[in-house]
Amino acid sequence: MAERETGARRAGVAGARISRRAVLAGLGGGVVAGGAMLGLSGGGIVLPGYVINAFIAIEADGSIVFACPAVELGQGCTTALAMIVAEEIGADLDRLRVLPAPRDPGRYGNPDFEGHMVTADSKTTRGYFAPLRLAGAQARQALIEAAAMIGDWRTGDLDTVDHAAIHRPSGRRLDFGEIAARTTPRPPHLEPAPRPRAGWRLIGTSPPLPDSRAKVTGQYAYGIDRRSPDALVAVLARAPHPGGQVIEVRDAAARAVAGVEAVVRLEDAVAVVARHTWAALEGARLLDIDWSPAPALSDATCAAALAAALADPARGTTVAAHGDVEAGLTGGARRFAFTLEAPHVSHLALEPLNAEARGETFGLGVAVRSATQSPELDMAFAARTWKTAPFMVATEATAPGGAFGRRVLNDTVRDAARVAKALGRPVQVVRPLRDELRRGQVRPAATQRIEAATDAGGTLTAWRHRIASDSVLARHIASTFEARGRIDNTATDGMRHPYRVAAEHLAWHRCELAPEPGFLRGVSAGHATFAIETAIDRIARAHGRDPLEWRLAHVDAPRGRAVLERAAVRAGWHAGNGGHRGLALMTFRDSWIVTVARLDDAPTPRLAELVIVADVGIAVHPDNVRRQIEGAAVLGLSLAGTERLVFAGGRALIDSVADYPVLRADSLVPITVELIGAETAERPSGAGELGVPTVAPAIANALARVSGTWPERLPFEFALATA
Amino acid sequence: MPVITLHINGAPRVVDIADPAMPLLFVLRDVLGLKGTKMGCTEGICGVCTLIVEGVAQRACQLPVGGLDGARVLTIEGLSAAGEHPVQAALIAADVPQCGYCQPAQVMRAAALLAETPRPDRATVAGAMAEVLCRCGTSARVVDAVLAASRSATIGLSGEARHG
Repeated sequence: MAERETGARRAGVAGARISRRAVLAGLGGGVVAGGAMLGLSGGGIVLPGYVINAFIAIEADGSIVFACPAVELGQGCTTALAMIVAEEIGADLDRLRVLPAPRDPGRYGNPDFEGHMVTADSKTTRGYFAPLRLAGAQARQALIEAAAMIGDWRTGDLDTVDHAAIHRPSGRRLDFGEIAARTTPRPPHLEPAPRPRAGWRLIGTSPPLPDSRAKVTGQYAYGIDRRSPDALVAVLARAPHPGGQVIEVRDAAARAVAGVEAVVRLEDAVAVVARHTWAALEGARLLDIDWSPAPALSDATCAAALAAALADPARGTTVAAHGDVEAGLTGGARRFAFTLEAPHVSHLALEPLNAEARGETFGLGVAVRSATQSPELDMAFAARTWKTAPFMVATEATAPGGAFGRRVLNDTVRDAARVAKALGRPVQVVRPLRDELRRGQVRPAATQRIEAATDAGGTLTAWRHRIASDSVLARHIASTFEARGRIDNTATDGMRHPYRVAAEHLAWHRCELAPEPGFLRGVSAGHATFAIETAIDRIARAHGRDPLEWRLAHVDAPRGRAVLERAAVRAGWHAGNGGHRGLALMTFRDSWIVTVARLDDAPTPRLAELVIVADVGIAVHPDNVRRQIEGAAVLGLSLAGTERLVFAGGRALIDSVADYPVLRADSLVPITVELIGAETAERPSGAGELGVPTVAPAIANALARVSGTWPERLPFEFALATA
Repeated sequence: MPVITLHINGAPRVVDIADPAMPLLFVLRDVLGLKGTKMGCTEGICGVCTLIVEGVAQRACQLPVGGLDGARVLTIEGLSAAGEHPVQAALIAADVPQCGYCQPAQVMRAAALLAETPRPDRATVAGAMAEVLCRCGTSARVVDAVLAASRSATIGLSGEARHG
């Protein structure tokens, strides 16, 4: 036994010497068969059992250990990724154990995310699909080679299924447990190809999710539940307005609260550190702080700044262009121009943002545990704050209670590191939801202008779309912003519509505003799609054309046409069975979606139903993809109808969480989701955000069937025909 | 320092709390280590700390412990041994939870509803479940699960009644 373990480790370490360069060349830039085997090398990886590669080890009882490179946010990615691995290995899911991969972007970074370990952007399943198939195939080959040795068989006569190697000629079967008990599975000699699709048994099925029971019994632990026994808890009092700095603080009342251990003054906040959460909250409430003055900030100042940015061609960065759009716009039979406005909106993830930090290694290093979407970015926050090197920062991701993009730039890590460092004690910082609503990250407000021209028949001939908004990347990740040519893709996502047009110009005009920009599920597609899809409907209707027919006449992409055609059938577009319908189409993260909103026949028509047809490529776990799209559509409905932060007098008008109304269980309509296109797809495409952006324009287009006018501002009013 | 006796999940727990204004939420989580009741807005709005006191669904962040001497409190830990309550079973069967953070509160709100109204209609369920926010967008499926549970066997609050 001991000998075998040594053997396995030796094999791994031998691989390590040649792995590094290959990792960077391989996983970082997309894996190709052949040399990629080295890129998956498990050298130096700490996994229990016999290490096959960076992602997979085989334990002595034949269980598979999978080092999962992504964070489970409730979107089910650990299940989907485990299914990909199990499919290749021929493993049973219930004999596959998922462990979090170490923070090592060189090995575990997402190829679709420039090699970073960030669980966001609908990139997890599609990014890791190819490398995990190869990793799994290697483990399968390792088991086959081990089984061949045991049975004195030819490897070519072996396959794996149901957690066993099968010798086809004899029909004999060796359970993985038996293989691991009798020999040492080692990284394989041959580079195996991924299992052909015809042999898939798991991908495309919907096995039960592993954590549902723990979640409904309160046993599932989130970051806020995992404060270390020796850690204190801190709540920061921050100014109600952006940029507020501490001028003077009177803290006698806060210090008098039973349980308060310390008050720590920071530049832009005062932290009350206590033995329990209530004391920290009470202490923070009782602080009397003079803040530096509020900026000139209101909805009006934001709107004026956005309008000015939009009007200034010098501030525009071209996102995409072809043809002569000026000539196209002036030379068309008809010309259209629309201006659309979207407000600042917030995530309102229900688990308060939190992070625990503790000094380590005589204070030179720091360990951080946090409810996060990216241990790698947590590390960056911690290293910068602690003034130490990345290798001196330990990170641990806990399950988060709602992420929605908010926990990518997880700034409570910075807060926790500041307070822990000042105090010299481990501290968990908990940020109250009200503070986050008032001062936290927002999907930045946007003002958009769409100009278009058509010929006499209504065919689109020219299209100009400009967005003015603030930039998350420019504000928070300047290096990425520069690397992407000073275009923030999270401010322009959704602009690339699927419609054929001879001349086009897409531009983004950056406009710095005081509220802190952040990533929110769907990012800019949340308003860009609203603009595009209402504009398309207005153009089609202006020419007396059916919006579905118009879209089909302008979309070449087969997947786009397929979702349109299927949605028409599914939603009864041509049936004329009462009810007013509006639709919206989008392609996003290489997926396609159509949402059809149906109003009922009440005197004031109410939204009665949303019908969604989506093509996400290969849906690894279709039930979960449908859940994701449906949940995202609920957010889309809430954003369409109610969500907005109001700014006045220098700050967000949030005195209570109730000041940010969101949709609840009694204001829902039936949502159906159908997936198509998996059979012909070659890989999964993005699914996590897909459901959000098309909801608002679909509803707007349905409302316009009745009223003849389109809302030009998010959110907009509509009634719901609730159950 | 007031000494308060709470009957939590059927067992008496004596707590010595300096501040009688401390909400039950933090007594459970920070003093007694019962972390299944989640911290949300602490303003009584989001509902993710919902539990059952004296048979009624309440928000633990809005209950000063000083007023609860002798009260019977049922938390998610006491509702069932391992998720056997029909609402939990229905949520598990349909894999409703996404992030799961609100789910204990959804369960407790639904359990209280069904104990009082064993056969509610959809609008009643939706109205009750609207008291617990879900940002993942599971609410429609939660309502479906509660309705499914309501069609199954008797639904009492056994965890509370056991020693009550």
